[in-house]
Amino acid sequence: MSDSSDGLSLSRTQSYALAVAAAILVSAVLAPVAYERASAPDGRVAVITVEGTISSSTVVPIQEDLREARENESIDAVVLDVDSPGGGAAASEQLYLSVQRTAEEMPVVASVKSSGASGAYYAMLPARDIYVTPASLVGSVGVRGAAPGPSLPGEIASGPDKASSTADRRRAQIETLKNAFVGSVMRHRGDDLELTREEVAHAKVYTGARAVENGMADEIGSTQDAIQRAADAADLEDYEVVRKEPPTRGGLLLLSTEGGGTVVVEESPVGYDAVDAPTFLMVYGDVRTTDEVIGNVSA
Amino acid sequence: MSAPNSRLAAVFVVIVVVVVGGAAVVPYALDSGGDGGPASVENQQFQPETVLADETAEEGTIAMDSDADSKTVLVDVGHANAVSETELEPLLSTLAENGHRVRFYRGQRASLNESLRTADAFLVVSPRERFTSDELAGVEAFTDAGGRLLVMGDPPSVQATGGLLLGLGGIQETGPQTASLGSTYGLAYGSGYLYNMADNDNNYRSVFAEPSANTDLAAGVDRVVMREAVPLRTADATRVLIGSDGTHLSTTRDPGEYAVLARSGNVVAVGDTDFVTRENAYDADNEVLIGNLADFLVDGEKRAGAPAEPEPEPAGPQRPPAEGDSGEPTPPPTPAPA
Repeated sequence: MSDSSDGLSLSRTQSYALAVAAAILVSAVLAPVAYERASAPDGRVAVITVEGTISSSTVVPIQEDLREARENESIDAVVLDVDSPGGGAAASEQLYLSVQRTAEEMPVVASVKSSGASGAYYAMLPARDIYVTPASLVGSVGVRGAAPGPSLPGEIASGPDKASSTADRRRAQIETLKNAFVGSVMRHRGDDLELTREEVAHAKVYTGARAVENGMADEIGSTQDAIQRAADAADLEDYEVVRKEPPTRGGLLLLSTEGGGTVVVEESPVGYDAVDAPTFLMVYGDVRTTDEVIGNVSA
Repeated sequence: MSAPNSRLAAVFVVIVVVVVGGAAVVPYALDSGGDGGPASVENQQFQPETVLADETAEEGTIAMDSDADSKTVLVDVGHANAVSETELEPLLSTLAENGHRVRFYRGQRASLNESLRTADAFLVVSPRERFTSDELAGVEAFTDAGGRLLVMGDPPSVQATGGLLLGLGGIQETGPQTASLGSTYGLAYGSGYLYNMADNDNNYRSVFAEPSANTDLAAGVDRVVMREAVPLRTADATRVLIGSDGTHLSTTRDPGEYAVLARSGNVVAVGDTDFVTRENAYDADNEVLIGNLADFLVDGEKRAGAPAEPEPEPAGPQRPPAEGDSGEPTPPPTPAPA
């Protein structure tokens, strides 16, 4: 190209200069990327908060966080930061399944603040390790539900079981949910547990130290210890922690009072405010509907 | 278009095709399975065959074997008894179907002892008011004379009073006032309830009870279901039914052989009331037990006139009799028309 007659030819020096300029330009674009690569941590540990009562509405953002952790390739491990007395049975099962799916793909470690009982304990069963502090409460592996009441006077239902159930049937339903819950505990923790299936079904809550002793939990330690454990399990020497805070919540089926443990079942949004929908709860603490005490759990 | 320009255009097109095509192909080449196929998770512990609870069939009929003739059974509803006539219906209907009379003592017109005088058997279920000493003496004289007494009791139940805000009302424990009634016969109701985590009818409090003595009361009974059983403590009474293996007491968490049905002469005590309700009457062998208890009530041979009439004044804190002071059935109080 040096002796072309159309005037577009460049001298050798000019060609070199152009090549150098282009190389510098390209390097200027690529260098930050390379720097980033070199200085970036090996991976990330996502800390996902499970706080308050677990209900069908509070469980959705947590499931989204878990899904994001699975799909985002920069996240290599998950720590569940748990402080919940449990909640609705169905919602707790949903959360369990999400955590289980996540645990299939990456290390999941749970850390319990003040309580990780009943449905919250259910949800963290798939975690490879459960960290507690001596004052944490875990356990309460059980299900509760209001006994069926009489159907409303003046109401016409299409069938005998439409408006109400029998105590026999309700007992069988609760027993079925209990079997699933206790079965899951035995499946995930059976090798560590010092307790028999029957003792687990007593639905006792255990303080942290006792739980570590009997195998309901694994280690005494803080959330930081749990994060370190998760990072080690994912072979991360150098890692970044990403926190997933739950969004502010509203319109819950279940509300937790500040006293801790008292759960108020709100009026049904469907109507028939006086009617107790047959909600099955996996919750630890006093439970009351707007006008009656369903039951108490003694510590 | 000149040749060099067309070559440039060709190069341009080739580069675009390579880059865009490469972008489309690379994900397949690098397929890490990341967010594509969700990991399949097998949860054997959730499968129906693993979790579903067995529901026991409810079948059978309540039948009486006794050939006793039209006996009169007095049912106590005058001591704030925590049971309704509807709940006792299976037992009372059986008695009525077999030609026996059922009367209710409401504590309104006649005294208990007057009512007992014309009765052959006395049924007391979960009284919430104490029996007076006169009444206790009357019941004792009644059983001494061959009258049959059947006492049924529940564990203490918690009742909330005061409505919505518990702070304004209160929670009170109301236990059956069966202590004085049973102690006369060496029978006492223990505290707490019975439960069985291993062998139960779909709930730890729905315990099974099995015969521990070969008596008429347990005839034909393999096992019965009691929904809220309370243990009976006995001095020298016969322990007829005891909780099945693995039955524990709630207050001590101790396993043991807890009696739920015991007999001392003409007196039978049962530590449950729910087994007799229509909903539970056909669970396991409950219907056989109900028939046996009905037989027990009418099989006695009671001397007429016991308990004897007191000398100077009628016993018991009763209102003066208005009309008809016999033990005739008293109609239920009807609300005054508005």
